[in-house]
Amino acid sequence: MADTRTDAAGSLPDARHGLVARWGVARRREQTARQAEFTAFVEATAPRLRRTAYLMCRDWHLAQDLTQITFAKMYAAWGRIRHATNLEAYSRRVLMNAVFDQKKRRSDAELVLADLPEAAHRRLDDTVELHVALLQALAALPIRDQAILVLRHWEDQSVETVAGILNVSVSVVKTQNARALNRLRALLGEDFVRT
Amino acid sequence: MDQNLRLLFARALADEPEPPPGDLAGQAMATGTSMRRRRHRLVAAGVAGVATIAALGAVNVAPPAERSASPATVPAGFAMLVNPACDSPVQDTSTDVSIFLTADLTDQQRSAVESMLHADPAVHTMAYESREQALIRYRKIFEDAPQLVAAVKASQLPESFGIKLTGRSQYANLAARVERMPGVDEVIGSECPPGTNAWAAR
Repeated sequence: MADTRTDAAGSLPDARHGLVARWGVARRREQTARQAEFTAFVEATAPRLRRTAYLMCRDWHLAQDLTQITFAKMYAAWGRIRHATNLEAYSRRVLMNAVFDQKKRRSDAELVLADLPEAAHRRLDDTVELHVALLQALAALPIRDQAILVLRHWEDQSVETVAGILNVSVSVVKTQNARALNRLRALLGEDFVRT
Repeated sequence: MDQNLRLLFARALADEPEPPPGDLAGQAMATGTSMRRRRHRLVAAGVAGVATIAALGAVNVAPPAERSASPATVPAGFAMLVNPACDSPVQDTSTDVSIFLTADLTDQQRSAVESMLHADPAVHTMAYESREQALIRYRKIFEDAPQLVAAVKASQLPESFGIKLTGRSQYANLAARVERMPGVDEVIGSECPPGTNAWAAR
């Protein structure tokens, strides 16, 4: 017993060195492949994600930051999620959570303007460009309703997918969507929002 | 007018600026890696924490209460019982607070803490969790690590109260009021994404 152990110990450094080196190479290769995969995902997804983020916050700088946060969070969990069936929907979910978070943080820090509700109910000026009016009207809605409208009517996601992204039931998406559309119509005029 | 919503959205996006130069994927990988490291550190510290909780339990069985040497890893050990989807432990940005109770808690102490929380203005909602419920949740959190699950019994886990705060600024107030109550072992603030809470399994 003792003899074999000394023998093994004598030859161990080399053998171990070879193993560690091989393990290191394999690990690096795996990591490179993973990074390449992630980079391809970012390149394919970033433009759409940034536009969706912009419609949610109406600020291109912030939209860029939110996109960045989304990708960082996804990379942190990449090993677990890379084979998920719908990475696209998953990225929307992470983004929307970042949007809600950011919004909550800001509204905690800011004073709420007392006359905001009135302003929101006022019919918008006809001279304002329609898409500008739309963004203003959108901003007056609750943030989750905005998310439903943007995901449904800009991204064209199905009711089921939206429900999954926002972690609510299908019927909630349906009723909230209908209600949000009604509010947009009230704000912008009847045939303004025809879907 | 024959405008549909999608067209208007497209028009609102027409003034999209060029994305800023820089390696978006590279930056995300750098930030993402450090996020993951931080999380792993917390879990590793937590594993050490559970070992100390177990050890404390064993010590407590033999000679009565010699728990002066409460090591620094214990808070992290409790933190591992918090929903991993939340950021913990945090202070000023807390949305949720977990209040872990001591192992030798009396019924009076438990109900004193409970009624104090009921009356507290910082508390939006509260939920009590027994040791058995804690074990169920612990098993769910660590379902990928059977050796961690096998090592822990309900009696080694603490009872706790899960609190949703009325606002993010409330953590310090509540912690200051609760921390010194008899029967309270550890108070941990968590920042949880909307729709979840600190005492959900994940």
